[in-house]
Amino acid sequence: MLSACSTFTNMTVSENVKPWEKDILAQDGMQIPADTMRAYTDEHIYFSKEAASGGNGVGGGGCGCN
Amino acid sequence: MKHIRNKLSIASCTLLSQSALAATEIDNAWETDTSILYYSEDERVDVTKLIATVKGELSDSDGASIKAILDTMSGATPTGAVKQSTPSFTGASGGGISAGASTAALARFDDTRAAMSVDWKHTHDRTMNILYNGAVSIENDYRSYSIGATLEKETESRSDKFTLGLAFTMDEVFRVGENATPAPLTLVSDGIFFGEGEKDTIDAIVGLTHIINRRTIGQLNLTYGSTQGYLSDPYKVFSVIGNSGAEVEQYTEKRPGSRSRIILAANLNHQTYPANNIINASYRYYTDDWEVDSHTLSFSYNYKFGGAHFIEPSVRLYTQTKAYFYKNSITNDPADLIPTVSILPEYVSADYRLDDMSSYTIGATYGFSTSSDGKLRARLAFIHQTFDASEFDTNDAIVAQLSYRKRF
Repeated sequence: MLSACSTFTNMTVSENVKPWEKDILAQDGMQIPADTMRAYTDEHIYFSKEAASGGNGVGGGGCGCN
Repeated sequence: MKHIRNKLSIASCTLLSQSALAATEIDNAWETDTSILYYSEDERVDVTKLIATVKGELSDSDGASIKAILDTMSGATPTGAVKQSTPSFTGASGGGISAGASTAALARFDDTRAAMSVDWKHTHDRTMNILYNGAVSIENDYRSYSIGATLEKETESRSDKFTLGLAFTMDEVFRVGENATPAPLTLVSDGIFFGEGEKDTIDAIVGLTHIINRRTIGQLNLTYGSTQGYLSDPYKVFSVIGNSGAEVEQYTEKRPGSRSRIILAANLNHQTYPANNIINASYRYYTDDWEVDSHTLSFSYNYKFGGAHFIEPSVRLYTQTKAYFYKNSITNDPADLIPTVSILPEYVSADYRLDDMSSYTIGATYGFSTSSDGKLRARLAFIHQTFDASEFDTNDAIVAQLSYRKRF
């Protein structure tokens, strides 16, 4: 519980980050999306099986997936 | 002395040229990412997907990426007819249906899709990029063409990035082998067809990415999309049933000729301290004028171990309300002597994907850095969908994916 509270606090505290302090933010896992291949395939799977789609980008074409 | 001076000159020139070569190699960094994915539903659809991406920096200000996709799809898909129906004459995506091969509520099909996407990134100045995208997708019964552009503008402090994107998509829809679409709200047995269907889509997105602190980054996106044209599924039907529940007639579906949607999406990435693991969280709210409202919530936790390995469990929760014209079937008992056409709503679809539905996905990805510039990912996930009124109450699927990224 204390760990979760600490993590939440660390997430939400705002600070001015200098350019030389962006090493963590430059990591692959910190990108949005963290894995573009997985994000692309997931978007296609759920587009084919759900009524809703999109939200994080535009374009890329469609399909007649049944 | 002259001999030594010449040797020193040669050594100096060699050293300088190697430094220049190293700088060139960094400036022209390339990356490939390949993936094979297998998707399998319980006694329904199977999909194998191959994807290859090549991305590279062409100059100090321009970069490009190309993605090639090959899908093979087969199996049985719900037609919208009730399970007690007489054999349907519809077949989806390359497959026909013969009486006795399967129940009319399911149609066997097989299809192959080839697609390509090209992205071009131009760095206008140190705080602004422009991304151009073009994509083509071709199937046995569907063609899609898309172009788009996205502007990215960072603040001077680089703590915020604004995004503005616009895309246009044109889709051509038709039944395989017929290049035609069924006349809407007509008896399947009458076999009345029109030409190919076409639909055009425009999507616009505005976004803000903000560095919250050294370990946390957040993003908000707002999307508006509008589609006009032929939005029905050329294979989907619905059943007219009697009071006993048995099918008495079968009609082709009809959906509205337009659809507008608004989507709000939020993403958050945080690296924990002191463990340095990464939490990814996202939420999406979707609403459209078909009265589909949906919520999507996703979490993943990237746990590093052994220096080069990670394991990333993930969960996705999803819920949607049904489209206002969704009906599992229409009731009109023959004994009532009421013509069906006189009671049909303006729009009807029994496509299960438009039903009230909730789903969850649980999965995990294992990753391993094969070298300082290579990364292997192996992923397994399970999807469970529950439908409210659909002829098929649930749908379960397994996803297995293997991907390898290499940087040069």
